[in-house]
Amino acid sequence: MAQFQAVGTLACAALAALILTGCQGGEAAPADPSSSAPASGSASASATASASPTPETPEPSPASADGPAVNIPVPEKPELTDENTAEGLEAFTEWWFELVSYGYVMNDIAPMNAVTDPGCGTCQNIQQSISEVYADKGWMSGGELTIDTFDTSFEETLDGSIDSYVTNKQASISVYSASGDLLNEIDAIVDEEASLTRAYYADGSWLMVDYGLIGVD
Amino acid sequence: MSNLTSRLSPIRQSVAVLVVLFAILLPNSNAVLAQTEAPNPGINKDRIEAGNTITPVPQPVDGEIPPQDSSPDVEPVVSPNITYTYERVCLQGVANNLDRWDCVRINAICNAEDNGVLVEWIAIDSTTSPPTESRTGSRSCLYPGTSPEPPGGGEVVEPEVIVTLEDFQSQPILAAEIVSEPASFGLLGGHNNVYANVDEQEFTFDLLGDEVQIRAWPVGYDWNYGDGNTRTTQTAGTSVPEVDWLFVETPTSHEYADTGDYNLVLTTRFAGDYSVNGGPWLPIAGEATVQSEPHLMSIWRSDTRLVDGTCDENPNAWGCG
Repeated sequence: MAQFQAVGTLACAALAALILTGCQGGEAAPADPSSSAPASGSASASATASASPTPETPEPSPASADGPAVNIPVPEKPELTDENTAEGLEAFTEWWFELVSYGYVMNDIAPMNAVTDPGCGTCQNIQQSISEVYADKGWMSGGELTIDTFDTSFEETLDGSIDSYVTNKQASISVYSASGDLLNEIDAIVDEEASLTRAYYADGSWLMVDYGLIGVD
Repeated sequence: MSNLTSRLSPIRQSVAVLVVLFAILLPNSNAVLAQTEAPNPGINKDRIEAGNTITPVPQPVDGEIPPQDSSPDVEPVVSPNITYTYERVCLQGVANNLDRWDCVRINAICNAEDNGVLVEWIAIDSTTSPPTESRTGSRSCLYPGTSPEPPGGGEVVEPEVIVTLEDFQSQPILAAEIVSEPASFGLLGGHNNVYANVDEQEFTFDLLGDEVQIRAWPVGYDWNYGDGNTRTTQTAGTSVPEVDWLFVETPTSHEYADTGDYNLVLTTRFAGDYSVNGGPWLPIAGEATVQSEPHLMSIWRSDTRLVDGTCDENPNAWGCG
């Protein structure tokens, strides 16, 4: 599929060079479509009206082929996530994956790191792959990581943390270059092997200690 | 002569165009090559080992962090007072209605041999009364005919009796009942729905004075539809509303390609745990298989024609009366 797209881009580039008309769309710089609305908009009555000084929350816009996500709010922390119960742990884990997904499209994993132990190896992999995507002004869309199944005995292990078994789904991903070229497409996945999350409860909230595939001795 | 040049020139032109095309294509073909190194942000998971615990740096929370036990599993405790037992991981969440398919995905890491089961080690500290049992966060794979090694070479509590796969297989496990919709009848090209009626089962018996309990539950179904087609499912299948019979495909339904009578054979695979004298539930390595009574499927041909009225209008028409 990616290959096919690339060939399409190629043909387009070749045509562009010959006919010198250029290809619409894909070549545009990743301009922010929502924030540039007042300049060009004839239909942006509300946008012009909002020239009043009240600092409104900027309109969020998801990542797409036209540009990276903008103004996506950091996922709000549900109240249940601070409960020291199995339900609280599940809610925390769900929210944690929302923070990861947010990190992917907003190039910002600080919110995830704020509730994650620095020893989490998978989290470092996430950080690294996000950095690669956004290097040179590239961006990505998709990649939302969610829980397919969640199971925990909710019993502490010797170090006081609690292990849970999760299986994930990850939505398909498109990676774009600064010029809007589709660099990579990754299909959606559903885990065929369960993972482990290890969390620790202290001072009224959970901390994600680790997340990854299950290790055996 | 002039005729010839005018015939040549279009060729020259197209050569020129070709050169231009190549000039454009060549640098771009490098881009295609470079694509193999394009960023791949798909999730890339590290494997968590037992000792992977909280990093000892101060967390940005006020108040102090509860002091970490100096012992946590950096090195598993090897002490005469600590012994180990293990339990099946995929039952730990049974209170959360653990799906059978979850067990398949949890046991997926134990794929070095068939029928691998992921177990977690439980440390038993006998210095307290009663002895304290704690999860270790350390796991092993249990394969038929082997005993897993506890973390750090600790000592395993052996039950008074060990139930092997052969012992398990010799239990009178009730076979699944095969149900077909419609009963034992089907249509050529229809989605003939079949499913298995089967329950979790428990057995208790005395073995040389020890009471042994075994519980068995179905984990997989091997269908042989009798026409040369087989299928393995994690689901037993389920009944569908009568209006959907033959029309709706189900995870266990089958389309026959020929009319005739077929013997459908089902083998149900059971996982089992056992407990000796009321002790902890220990997994039996391997799966017992139980074959159901063959189920007759008579597959008929249905005939369809276009008609131009109802049977009320023309009771003698084809297919009426």
